[in-house]
Amino acid sequence: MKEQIDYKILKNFACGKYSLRDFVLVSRWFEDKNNETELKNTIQEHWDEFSEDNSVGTKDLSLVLNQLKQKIASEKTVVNFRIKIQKFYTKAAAILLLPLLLYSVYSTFFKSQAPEIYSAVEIVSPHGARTHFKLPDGTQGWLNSGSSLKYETSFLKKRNIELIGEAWFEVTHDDKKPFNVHTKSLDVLDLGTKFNVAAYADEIVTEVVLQEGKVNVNGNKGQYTVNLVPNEKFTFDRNLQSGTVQKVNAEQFIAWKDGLLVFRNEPLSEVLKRVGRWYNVEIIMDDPDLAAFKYRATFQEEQVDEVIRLISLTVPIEYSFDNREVNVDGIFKKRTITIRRKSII
Amino acid sequence: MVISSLKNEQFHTEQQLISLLRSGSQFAFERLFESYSQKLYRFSLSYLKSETEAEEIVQEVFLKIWENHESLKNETSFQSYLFTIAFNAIRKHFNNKSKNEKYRTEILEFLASENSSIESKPDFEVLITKLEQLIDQMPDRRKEIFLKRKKEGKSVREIATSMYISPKTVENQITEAMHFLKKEFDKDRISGMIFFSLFLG
Repeated sequence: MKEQIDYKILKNFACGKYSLRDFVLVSRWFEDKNNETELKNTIQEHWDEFSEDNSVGTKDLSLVLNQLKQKIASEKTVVNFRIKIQKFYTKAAAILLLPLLLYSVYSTFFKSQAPEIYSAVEIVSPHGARTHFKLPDGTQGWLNSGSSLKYETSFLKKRNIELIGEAWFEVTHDDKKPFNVHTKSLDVLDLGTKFNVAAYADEIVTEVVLQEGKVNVNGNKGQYTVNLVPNEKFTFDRNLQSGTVQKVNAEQFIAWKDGLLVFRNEPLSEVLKRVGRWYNVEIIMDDPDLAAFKYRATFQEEQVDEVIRLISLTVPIEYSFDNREVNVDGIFKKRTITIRRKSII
Repeated sequence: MVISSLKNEQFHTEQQLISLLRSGSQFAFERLFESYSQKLYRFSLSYLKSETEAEEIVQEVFLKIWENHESLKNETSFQSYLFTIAFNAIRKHFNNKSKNEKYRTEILEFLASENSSIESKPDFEVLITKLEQLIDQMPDRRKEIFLKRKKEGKSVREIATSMYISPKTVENQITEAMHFLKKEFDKDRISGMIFFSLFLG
C-alpha cells in the first residue's frame, strides 16, 4: 500500500512536536517497504534544509573518530603490504624463480598475520574448592571441587562443553543454539535451564539432576535418550550400562554450589567420600557395618575437623588425623583421616 | 563547491578531498568527518531520539564511507552519497527501535480508544515518559507480570508457570495495571476539562 508521506508531519516529528497519531503514521512510513524511495526523498528534503543550530553547541564525537582511525590503521598495514608485494610480483613475472620466492615470502609474512586461532578454553576448579564460571554466551555456574570444563573458541556458534567432575549450570536461553554438556558416558542437551551434572572420573555413575526447565540426556553411543523434567535425576551406571530416572528434591543435589554440604540419609561411605572430595582429604574407613550407616546433616563453612567431629556425635566412630607428610619432591601429601568403629570399652 | 578550512592552513576543495579519499588518504577522511559529522549526528538524533544511537549512526556511516573509499565516484555530490548511507542506517535503527518499543505505543493506543486527547495531543514524548513513570510506580510483582505480558509478549500461561502463580492471578494483575493506567491518564483529561470550564466562566 503506497501511502502519501506528509513532509510537515515528518519534520514536526523530528522536532519533537508530534502526537500518538503522528507517531503511528511515521512508524508505518518507515516500516513500509513499498514507499522507500518516497520516504527517502522526503527525508532528503529535510536533510537539505537541515542546518545545525549553532546555539546548541557541538557534540564531542572524538571517540567515534578515534575508533574509526583505529580501524583504518589496522587495515592499512595489511593492505599496503599486500599491494607492495603484488606490484613487485607483476614486475618480476618474467623471471621464473623470483615469483616463487616472493610468493613464499608473501604467504609466510602476510598470511601469518591473520592466523586462524583455534584453541580451547579450560576452567579448572582445584580440589577442595568450588569455582564460579561464566561462559561467553552468558551461561554461568559452579564447578565443584576437583572438576574441570573445556570449550572451544567457536563456542558461540555451537555451544558444547566437555565436563570432567561436577558442575551446576544456569544456561542462557537460545532456541537456535542448544547447549550441550559432554561427559565420558553421556551428553546433556538443553535450551535454557538450570541443572547439575556429576561425572566424576573415579565414579561408576554419572548423574544429571534437573532444577528448572528441560533437558535431554543422550548416551554417548546413542543407546538411549531421556527427557527430564524438574526435580528428576538421571543416573547412568557405566558398569551395568543402564540408567534410571528418579524423582528427587533437586535442591539437595545443588546445595553444594552455595557452599552447603548436604547429606540426606546417605550411607556413611558415601558421606565420607563426599567429605573427602569436598575438603580434599583422604578418608580411610574399612568397617563395612559402619559404611552402611545412614547419615543426615547439612554443613556450611565448617572445617573438615569440625565436620568429622559432628559426624561422630551421632555415628559411633573414632577418628585420627594423620600428620601431613611431605613427598619426595617437597610437596605435601593430602591429609589423611582414619575412621574406626568406636570401641565400647 | 565546498571549501573545508583546516588547521594547518591548507585549503582543499571538497573535490580534492574526495580524490584524496579515493586513494586512501586518512587526512581527507578526517577532514570530511569534521565537515559532516555534526550535521549527521544532529539529524540522526532528531529521528532516533537517542544520543547513543545517533553516535552509532555517525560511526556506521563513516565506517561504510571508508570501507568503500576506493569506489568513490568524482561526479556524485558527497553530501548526497553520505545521505544515502545515512538514510539506510537511520531507517534500520528506527525500525528496530519501533519493534522493541511497540508495546508502549500499543498500550497508549488502547488507552486512547477511550480517551481521545491521548491520540491528538502533540506531546507524544511526554505521554511516553508519563507511561514509563507510571509503570515504574507499580508494585514490583505487578510490574513484572505486566512487562512480561506486554513487553516480552509472554503468554499468561508462561508467566504463571515461570512465577509459580495461577493464570487467574496473572490476568487479575494485568487488569489492575491497566485500570491504574487508565485512571491516571483520565485524571489529566478531567483536570484539563475543569480548567477549560473555569476559563469559560
